[in-house]
Amino acid sequence: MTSPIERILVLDDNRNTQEDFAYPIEAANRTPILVPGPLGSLEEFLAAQPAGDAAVSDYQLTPGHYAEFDGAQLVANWYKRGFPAVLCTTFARSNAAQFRLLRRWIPVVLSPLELDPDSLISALELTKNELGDNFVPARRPWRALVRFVEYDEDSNTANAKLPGWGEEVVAFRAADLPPSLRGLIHEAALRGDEFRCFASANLGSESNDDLYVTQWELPE
Amino acid sequence: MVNDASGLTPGHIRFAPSILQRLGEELNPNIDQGLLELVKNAYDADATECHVWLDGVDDRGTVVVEDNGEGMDADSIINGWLVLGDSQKIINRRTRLGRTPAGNKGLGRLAALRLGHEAHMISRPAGRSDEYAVTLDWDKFDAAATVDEVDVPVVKGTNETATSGTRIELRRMRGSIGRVDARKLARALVLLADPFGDQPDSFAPVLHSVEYNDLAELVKRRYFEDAEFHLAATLRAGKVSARVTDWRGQTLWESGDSFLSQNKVYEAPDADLDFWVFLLDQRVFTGRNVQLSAVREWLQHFGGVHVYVDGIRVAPYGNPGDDWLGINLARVKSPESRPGTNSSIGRLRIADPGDQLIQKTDRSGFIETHAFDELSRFARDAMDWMARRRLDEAEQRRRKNRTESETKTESTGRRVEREIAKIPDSAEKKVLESAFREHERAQQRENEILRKELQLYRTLSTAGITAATFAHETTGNSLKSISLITNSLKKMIQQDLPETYPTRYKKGLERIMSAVTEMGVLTSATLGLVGEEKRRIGKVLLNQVVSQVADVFSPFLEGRKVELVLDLSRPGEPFIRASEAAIESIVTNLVNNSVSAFERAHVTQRRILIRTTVDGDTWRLTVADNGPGMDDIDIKDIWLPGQTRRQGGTGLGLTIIRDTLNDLNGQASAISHGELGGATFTIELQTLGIDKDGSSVD
Repeated sequence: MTSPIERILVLDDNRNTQEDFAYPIEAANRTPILVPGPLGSLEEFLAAQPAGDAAVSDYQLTPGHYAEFDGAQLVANWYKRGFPAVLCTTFARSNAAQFRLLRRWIPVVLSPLELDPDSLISALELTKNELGDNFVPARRPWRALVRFVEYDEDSNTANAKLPGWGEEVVAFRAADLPPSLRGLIHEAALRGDEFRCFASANLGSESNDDLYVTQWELPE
Repeated sequence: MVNDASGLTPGHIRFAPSILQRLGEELNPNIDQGLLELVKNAYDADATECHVWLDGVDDRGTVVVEDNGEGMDADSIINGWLVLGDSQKIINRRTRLGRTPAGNKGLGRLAALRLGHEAHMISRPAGRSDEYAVTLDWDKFDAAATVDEVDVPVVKGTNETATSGTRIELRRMRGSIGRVDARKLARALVLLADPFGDQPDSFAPVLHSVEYNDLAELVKRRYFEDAEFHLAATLRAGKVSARVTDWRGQTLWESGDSFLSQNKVYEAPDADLDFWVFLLDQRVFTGRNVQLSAVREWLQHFGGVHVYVDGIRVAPYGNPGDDWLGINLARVKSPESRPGTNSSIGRLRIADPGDQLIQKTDRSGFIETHAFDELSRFARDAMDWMARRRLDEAEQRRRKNRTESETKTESTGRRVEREIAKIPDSAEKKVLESAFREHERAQQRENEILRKELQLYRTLSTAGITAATFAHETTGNSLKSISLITNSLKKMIQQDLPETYPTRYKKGLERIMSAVTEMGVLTSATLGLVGEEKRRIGKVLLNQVVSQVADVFSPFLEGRKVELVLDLSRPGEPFIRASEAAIESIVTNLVNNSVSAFERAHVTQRRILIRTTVDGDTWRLTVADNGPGMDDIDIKDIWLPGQTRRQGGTGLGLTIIRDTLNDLNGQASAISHGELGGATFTIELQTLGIDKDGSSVD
């Protein structure tokens, strides 16, 4: 039996917004803990044990020198360390390609419009369950074939299709892909071919934005 | 024991040991702040040195703070040091060295002393041969029923060192002090006693750590003489004066009798503001005996405006991320005349003998009283004044350049005229004179057009920068706050007033959320247009961009009761090489144009049609509406700047479309009453090919 979520850390580079996060948390009968900045580097911040049971973080943490990292990096790294956190931002929704590779470790992204006392707690519970290897169907990773159908380094575009998921084109930022993978896609594109490989993806995802792809299986 | 008239023993309020935790580490959770309080106590004891070891001297796991101050005798310890919360800071009281006490005698110190399971203090009073030791064993307190049950003996010993001072050992630390805390503490100690002042060594706390050594070394490098501008403003009895000098120390501007603000008196304690502005440009630093990168590093660590009250720094003002004077926001509004926190450093020295400024209990700055607001206003006004002087100077320089350029053109013209006059053949001379006059007239016309275009794009840039700044602020702060609070209120009211919620509150709350959604669309559309990636030239899938714009606008159009019909060419994705922003600006401006047309006429069922078709290499975009059309303007004039029929409109939308199409070698045409009855615009672009199922067909 895991401990319940009682104390929820709040990270936002705007102190007023941080205090506003307290409303949904308190309405959910939980205790908000506003984390004061500056947080320093990601490595330094992660070295300390989080002083709560879960967290909600904004994406933009750097503009006000609150932290030297962004909320997506933080939430993903916390996940890898077994600590549940939710990213609250409008940015991630409109920049799905940018977050594609990190979404494996960011189970839920809520926009401020979506974040209410219930959705917040559900998101944290979902994340916590996932950390206990209990995935909802939309998040469970599967081995998946990935076909890169378009690649343009100038415009930082790499579009792929995952036949196991659907017909829709899935966008990546070329610069985010591992260099070896980029090289293989580029070589194939020069030959006029698609590059195909296997990776791990949540094929049960109902939305393109929430689709993650990770663990690329590349030839030696 | 004294009994009252009833014969019962009188009671006392006593405290459970958990109250120590509440008032100590829970109220002041920052380790660096707690230790800083102990160092400030050393300052109050007139110490000139104070050493801090985070990992003990010999004993790991022990934090040691030791000073060479005046020390305490048994009486001072029992009636001062051991009394928590009783601030001995008395207004106007000064120490023997003339210092104004800075330390907190209460809760901050309690938090620091509780960092370990045991706090051991030994103090040697000045000029005496005895010393006194006290040990606070917090485990004993935790085991007791109430705090007062635990005796704290003061043990007298012999001082064999012949020096005075106090040493505090925090033993068996409860947690480790991480690198973040160590670095924060190092920075706080380095900056504590105004290292930029005239007597930087009068009180020099030292943290024995690598972090401290690096920073202490760095702070000693004073690059003030390399600042391009130095603003020195003084506030005396509410009146201000200011002066700006250049890097040679020459006075550039003086405020004289003209005060910095409309409200001439500042109700704040006396203060001195020094603010150094750097131009971090290699060209500026060429020839100077200093490396630009070194100045950058120095500013990165110590930049910001630090606040010193009676010689001791008050955090967090000037800490990384604490832009308390809004320097960076001001820079966004006026980048030419304003520095950012990375290119400036400042110091506000305040003399506050009357204690007008009150520090918060958790030592995170001042309580925002009227005096503090006035002090902030003084600093901001002084910076505004300097920015205005810099702007004025830049404007004068620009005017001078313009005049010089015009004079140069005029003199070149006269030279040509003189050369023509020398031609002996009068017929040839006439032809040349006439040709030259024609050339001059054409040049003047071109200059006139260029001036107008320049003015247009300046207006656009300003509008764009302002809109993007506001959009960013609105999305990140205001809209986020409204969403979070409204969603929470919805839940709370549903719980608290389940019966009346559906009839009295539900609709109103839903309207707020719907309004927030609409505003979100507008702000994300604005921000989307200025995204850097969108301005990069690359392959642009035309229909995809049209579809994205339609998606972004759909909630906004729904709010305006406009039905949007999207009819995109299929199959395949026609593409060109351009920036996504260029295509977005065409589609966005056409849709905006239709939306504003609906404001001018009553239309029962508002409709906008966006259709794309492909004909050979030509991609055609049609945007039609059922608005009132464009009867009140000559159709060929609609592309001119400033032609608007909307109250408060800029008249720039269609001009931008025209200019964008010029860049893309595209065509635009318009008819007043098209297929839906209202205006219809048609845009044509030559495609590079069509993507079919991901592969290009050129």
